[in-house]
Amino acid sequence: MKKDFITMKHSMILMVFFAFFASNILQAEQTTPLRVMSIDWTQTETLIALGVKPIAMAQQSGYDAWVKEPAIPTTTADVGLRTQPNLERLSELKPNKIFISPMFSSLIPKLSHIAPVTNITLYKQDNISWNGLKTFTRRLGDETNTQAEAEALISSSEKKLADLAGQIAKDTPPLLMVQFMDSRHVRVFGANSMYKVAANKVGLESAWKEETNAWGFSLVGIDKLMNTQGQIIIIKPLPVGVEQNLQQDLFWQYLVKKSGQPALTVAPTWSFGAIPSTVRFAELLTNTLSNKEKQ
Amino acid sequence: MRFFPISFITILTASVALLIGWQLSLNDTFIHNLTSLIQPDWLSDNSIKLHLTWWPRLFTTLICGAALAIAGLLMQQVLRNPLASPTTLGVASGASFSLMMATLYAPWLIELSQSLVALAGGLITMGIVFALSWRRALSPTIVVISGLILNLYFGAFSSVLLIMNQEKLAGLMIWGAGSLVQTGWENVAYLAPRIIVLILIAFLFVKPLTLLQLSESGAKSLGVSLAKLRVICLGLAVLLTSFVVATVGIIGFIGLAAPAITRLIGVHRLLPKFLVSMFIGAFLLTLTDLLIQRLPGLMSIMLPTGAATAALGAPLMLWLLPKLTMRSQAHTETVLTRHSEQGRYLSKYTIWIALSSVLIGFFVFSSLSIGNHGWSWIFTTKDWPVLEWRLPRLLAAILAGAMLATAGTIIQRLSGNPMASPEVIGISSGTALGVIAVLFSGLSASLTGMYVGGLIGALCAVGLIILLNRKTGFQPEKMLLTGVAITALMGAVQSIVLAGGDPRSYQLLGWLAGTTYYVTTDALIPLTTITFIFISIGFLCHRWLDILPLGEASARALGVNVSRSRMLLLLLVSGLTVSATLVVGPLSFIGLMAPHLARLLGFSRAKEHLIASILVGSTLMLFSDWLGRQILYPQDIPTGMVASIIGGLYLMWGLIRL
Repeated sequence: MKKDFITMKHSMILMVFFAFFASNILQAEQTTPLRVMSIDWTQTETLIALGVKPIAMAQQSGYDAWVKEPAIPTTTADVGLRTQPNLERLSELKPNKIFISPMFSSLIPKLSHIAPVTNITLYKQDNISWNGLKTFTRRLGDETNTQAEAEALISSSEKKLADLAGQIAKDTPPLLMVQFMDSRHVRVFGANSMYKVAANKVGLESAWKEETNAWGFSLVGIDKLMNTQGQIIIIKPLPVGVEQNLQQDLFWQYLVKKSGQPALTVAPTWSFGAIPSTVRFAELLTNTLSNKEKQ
Repeated sequence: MRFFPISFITILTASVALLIGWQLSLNDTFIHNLTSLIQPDWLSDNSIKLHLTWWPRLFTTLICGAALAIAGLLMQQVLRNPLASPTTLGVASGASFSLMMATLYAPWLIELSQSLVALAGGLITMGIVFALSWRRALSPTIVVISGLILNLYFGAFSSVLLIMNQEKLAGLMIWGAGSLVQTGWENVAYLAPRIIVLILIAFLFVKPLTLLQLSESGAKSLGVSLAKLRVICLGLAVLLTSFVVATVGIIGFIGLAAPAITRLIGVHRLLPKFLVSMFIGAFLLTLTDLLIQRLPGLMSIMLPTGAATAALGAPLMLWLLPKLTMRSQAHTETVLTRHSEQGRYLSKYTIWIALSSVLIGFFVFSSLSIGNHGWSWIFTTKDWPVLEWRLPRLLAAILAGAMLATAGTIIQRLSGNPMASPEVIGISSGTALGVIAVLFSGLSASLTGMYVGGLIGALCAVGLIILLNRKTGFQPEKMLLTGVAITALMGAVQSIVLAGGDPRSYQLLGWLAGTTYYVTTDALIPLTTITFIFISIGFLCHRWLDILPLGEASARALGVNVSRSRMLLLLLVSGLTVSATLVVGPLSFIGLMAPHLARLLGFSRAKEHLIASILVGSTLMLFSDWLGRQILYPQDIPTGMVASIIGGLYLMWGLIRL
């Protein structure tokens, strides 16, 4: 078993090496090096994971607070708000490819004066599944000539998720994954959410079966959680003051007691992310669950 | 007429009782469900749910409804303005703004006590309103206008914070839409004693308020200190509102509607008015909330009660408008215009100075800017391509400024009211509503789609304004109030949209903030043409603009068809506003501020007034656009927000001097 693992690892390294080699050849063929940027954090996250250093991104402080990883390269410039990236700054940076998501499509007329704009959709109804995430990653790989890196990212992620699945206790109940908006309202994640994809990949179910929006959540008062049974997973960050309110909140205590398990918290990940966030969430989730087992 | 109030209250009570009865007969026996109020069965889910969520929610709505109704009644009584309400006086937006600031910059305050932060925000706002209107002895009109300005001002600041921190403030948006979800008895326990004490104190003032209702001078001669009475009653109203807002969030409309309905069903004496509106307020909010809770599936959360009541309130306000008598407003109008009547003589050079300041501003702002390497002067960097981005924006800012200034001048002269402006009469809000509808109905997210939607929205607003005001001959006050109603509707829809947390609202916020960002070189040619056509028409109408402020009788004597000229001018204002709003968004204060400044510079004849305010408006817009791009570089702060923040300060200063 152990031996298998080592050879797997070796072949992975070999693959990645090969991929880099291949991409080097491809890049050498190009006359100009790619200078890409994306307005959307989900795309930025994926680009960096593919080894592409975006020349610019939007609202870096927000990315650092909400997406966190992979870290933004130091060479990447901040062009300001996602709703209105600073055009002067962006044009000075001379990108030759700009990625956006449909949410920002009103920017197309302006941005296309700077560089060709590629509009890539990820979050829409019935699109978020492991296959959907893979398609999205491959598409970005195609657009940035990093097809090999994309394949490497996908296969290493799949392997990682399979590893994590092995660490999950078989009797873990379905997960009720929530993120608190204030003391009485949560986003509860279910179908079409990245969190559910991550949970499914490590062999877990989502307890929330009600309808969700295109971003995979429903915003509900916590009184609506009463009829849903499952291991409660609180995705951080908690808004200020919520923690102390919950400690005094009889109804919340009742919900937790009824679930039969202590509520677990997971460090922040980007709720609307792609493969890198999915893997990161799966890791954090597995850690939390196995820490609970140990206690 | 005696019969009507009783039947109305009976129907209201019966529907609330019916809904309560229905809820209590679900899932378990009626008796069990009823006893869950006092003694829940800790083994039964249903009983616990009722005890910890349903019952507290019922009591919260009853208490909040009653408190807001009394607060509204007090305000309407003291200000003698049937449209005064807790939300129109800026208390709610002040509370909301203070919560935002605390969440972002002093989270320990929120941990200390969220209610206290909101309470402080509400009280400080009211303090500012008092300070602004102090010199005019808290005159009703000035108080309402100060409230309106503070509302808009905090609105602009909040939008800046929001577009920069949308994720962090998502929870506050739910609070702002007034969701009444309860998970225990803390809120009831907090609110009940405070609200009851305040309402009891309010009842002590029924008698002096009755005197005030008779007539202002009468009250004075009977020895009632007007200022003291106003401060105490408004203070009570603010406290009532603040407690409610701090615990459950912003709930529109009840404070306005409960007293209005009371009046409509024919209750006129003050004591019964207090009792009946308290009752109606409590039951109206409870009824709405019970109905919303019964909505199928997850719709109940998509529609927070507070915003839902506000959205219902706007049509009610519009329906009430024709029924209002305006006698109390007549004298205040002259009070407002008084300060600007004096005009010192100024030479023609002033116009040349203003014109050259526009040109110099344009030159400086297009060449000096922060870039990738700090401050740069375009003649040293020789980075000419950057102008491709800068020039269209600056030009658009100038044109929009000019159009808003023209619209503002026309509407202020037309109404003889220096607080009128295209933003205030609701055309801008109509445009915004159209854009929201287009974005969220999934019709289109493209720029053209947004523009078409905005245009349709604006035309609907203009249609509504004309329809509601045609009969009264476009009376200035009623036009303003129509605008207040349309703006209220826009606010409600906006808060429902923002509370849902849909990431598309990013884009909406960016647009609502008002920015020259989207202006392309191609769009400049039609924009310039439209600006010149509309402004020239404005100049052609200068005779009307000279005559109309003299008053209806004198205007008619001079041979002007007052109604028709008002309507035509209104149409012109709409055209100007729509074109400008599509460029710089629904809010900027420029239309309000530029004509003012021009007046202060001493231009009082229509033609000169127009020219001067156009120049002032363009310069201000130019400056705002440039400043917005530099101040938080690389963040691009929308032009409209910067203009509102500068403009709001000026207006507050103007109010103090009034």
